[in-house]
Amino acid sequence: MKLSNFVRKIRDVCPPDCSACEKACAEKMGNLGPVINAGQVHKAGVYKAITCVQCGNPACKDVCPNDAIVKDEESGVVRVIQENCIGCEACTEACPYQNMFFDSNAKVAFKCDLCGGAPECVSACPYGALEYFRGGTIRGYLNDEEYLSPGTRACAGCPGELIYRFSQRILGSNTVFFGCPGCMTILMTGHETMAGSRLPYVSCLFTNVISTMTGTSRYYRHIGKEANLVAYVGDGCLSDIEFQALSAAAMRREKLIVLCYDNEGYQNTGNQMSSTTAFGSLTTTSPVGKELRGKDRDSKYMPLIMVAHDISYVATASPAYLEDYARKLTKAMNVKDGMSYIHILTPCPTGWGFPIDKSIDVGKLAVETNYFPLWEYEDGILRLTYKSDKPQPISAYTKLISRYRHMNEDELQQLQRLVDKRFNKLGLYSQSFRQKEALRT
Amino acid sequence: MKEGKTGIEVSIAASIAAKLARVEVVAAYPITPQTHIVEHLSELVANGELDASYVNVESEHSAMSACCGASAAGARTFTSTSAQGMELMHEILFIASAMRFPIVMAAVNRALSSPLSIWGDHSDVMAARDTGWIMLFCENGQEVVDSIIMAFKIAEDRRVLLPVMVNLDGFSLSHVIEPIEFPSQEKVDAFLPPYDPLYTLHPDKPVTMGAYGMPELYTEAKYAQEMALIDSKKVVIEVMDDFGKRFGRSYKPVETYNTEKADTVFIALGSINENIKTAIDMLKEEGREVGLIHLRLFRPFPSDELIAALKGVKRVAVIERAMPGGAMNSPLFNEISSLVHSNSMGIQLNNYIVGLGGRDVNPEDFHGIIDDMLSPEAKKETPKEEKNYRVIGVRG
Repeated sequence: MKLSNFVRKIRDVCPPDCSACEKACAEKMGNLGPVINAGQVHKAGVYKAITCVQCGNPACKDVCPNDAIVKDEESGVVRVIQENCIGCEACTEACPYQNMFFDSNAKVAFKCDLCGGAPECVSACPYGALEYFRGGTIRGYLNDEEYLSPGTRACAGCPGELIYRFSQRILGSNTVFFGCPGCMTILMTGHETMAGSRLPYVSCLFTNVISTMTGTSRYYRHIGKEANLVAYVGDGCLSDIEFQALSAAAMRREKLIVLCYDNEGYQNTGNQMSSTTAFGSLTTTSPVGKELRGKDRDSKYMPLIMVAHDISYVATASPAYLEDYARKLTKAMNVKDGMSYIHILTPCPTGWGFPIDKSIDVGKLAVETNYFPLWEYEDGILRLTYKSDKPQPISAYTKLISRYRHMNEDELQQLQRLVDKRFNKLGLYSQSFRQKEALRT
Repeated sequence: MKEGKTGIEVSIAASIAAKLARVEVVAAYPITPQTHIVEHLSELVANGELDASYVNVESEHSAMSACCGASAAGARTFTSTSAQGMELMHEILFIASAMRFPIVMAAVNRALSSPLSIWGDHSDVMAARDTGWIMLFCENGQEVVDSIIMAFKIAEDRRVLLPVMVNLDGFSLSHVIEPIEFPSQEKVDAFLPPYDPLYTLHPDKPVTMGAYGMPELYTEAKYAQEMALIDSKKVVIEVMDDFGKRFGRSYKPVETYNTEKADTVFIALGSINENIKTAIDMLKEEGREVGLIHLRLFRPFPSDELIAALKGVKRVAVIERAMPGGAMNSPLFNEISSLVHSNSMGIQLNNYIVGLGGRDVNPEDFHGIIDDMLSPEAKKETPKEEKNYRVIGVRG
């Protein structure tokens, strides 16, 4: 997969009369005219590319009869070499996103070239609505092939589906997936005689994913086969009913990759409370009533428990920080022996209660409020992989989510204390680990 | 292993049988009275005498799961358990049979708690009898060794592909030292070639295992599985015959003892059949002719063979080492009763519960059972009570 950077909208804040981006673009482009349309920027959803997406395999380049379109290996920019352009307009027809333009006077095609790496539209926006997105680094981790079967039966806005697809693209074809009844089963298992993906998959029980994988892993080792054996299972499975088998396999240093999609509850059965459900959360088994106001205790923090097992690699990840996740999953893949465990917070619009287009925002705020810090642990060292410059209060996160809506000021403060406590503990861990490392070296 | 018979503990012999079968993955969790089997297997692996992966799982639940994962990848897989262990792996027993994994398990039968008991009876296997496994019961140590080797051949047959449970009684069989003849490795290899799986789990040829069975498909899937289990009897007989020809010890799904002259017979499972044979010999000395029908195959239920064995029989005492759990009769009795009545065989059937939690069963107990069967009370055709069985030797 070739590199691909582009300009995207990151905030839905455009006032109706603003066209600063289009004006800046027009000024830059001169006679040719702008390649960004303010009206369309206003309409576009968050995280949408709003100029040329600089495709990995550009359709415009494919159809050009005179090699006038090239894709720059370094920057990923798709460029029109105007001297070569014969004005046939095949490229404007071919572009599925209507991002190739044609100057009928000069008889040449033109398009967004990202202003040489400093897009004018981004810097012109007075509201910070646009971002120059460097997708290239993420794409570098991905295989070309798409393994997931077309269509999705996951709920609208489910980042669990995003992570599954993305993980498949990183792991590649030498992979066997294992899952169990839960949200992602509907994607992983397929339907009747149709497979969920082009990768082999074993549908295990809620209680025996890791132990089943152990058998496969041992036999592979016995006959000298190498493959990624990957569990993609939820928090209810790993933190509750499968915990014993997970802990034992971790102790035995089984060579497995365990991916936990944490949607903080039994979401497939309709939002019941699990061990990772956060304090205060309203679920169908921790309701809000006269005696109880949501979950009355802190969540079980699985990733640190896995650190206590001292397995080869432990990390936390978020669908809002895909590059961070891609790097971590790649590390997990390269572990020579022993278990890797990645705990991924996958906000659940259906169970938690937030609009389906806010999954990524919620995921981002979980990290920005230190509610779900991103870190990794390997070779005895714990290290934060992202640190928010100015952590926001937990209320910035909870206010987006209806499972916290009943919480009063006291309760929110209590949640804030729990968040701070966990974050400080992580800080201490990483500090003491650093000191240990310093002593060693 | 030297030629001829060796005096050896049956548990150790069972693990040697697994070694002779060249098992590739063993996943097991220790539980009394199964321990000596898995201990010896670990030793064989540790000493390099058995080229297999031994997984020290943390529970029987994980033991059976790991066996499933290994079998899915194409491994010849073995495990062993007892009592609570079998209950803990209960849900996985269904997975192994439904996903058609030819796993072999030595089930060292033991009572279920509570009260806590580590001693033998058939409560464990009777609670697992409808899990879709082929079930063999062994009378002595030689039969344990031979059954384990035959079990792999039955399980891995393309017409079968089902797991096999080889049942041996805890302590009264597992811990006794018996003279056992071990077949040579060459002969076992010729009898049991390497496992050639139909489907394996590997990225080279992606498959989905254990997919959804929607209401439109589930019945058909289960029906197909049930038919495979029923049809496996043919293969069981074939394998037993082949084994007999090659090794000189022949087995049948149903065997009889002294039934030629007797119109009263016992039917039982497992090592208690040796006690019954002793009792029959003693009765013979008194001039009383009583027979035994020994069920070596319990699942699939060998109906045709039983009908043949029951020809001319007037009275049957079904001996069972498990409580009926609120039913009118114990599980084996219900099967026999169903067979006898649906074939209008007009046989008097009586049900006796014996030897629970390792209680000794003496030849005299069987004398008492025969006397009881011949009493006018026992002849009643229609049971009038909810409890249509007697518990031998129960106090209070």
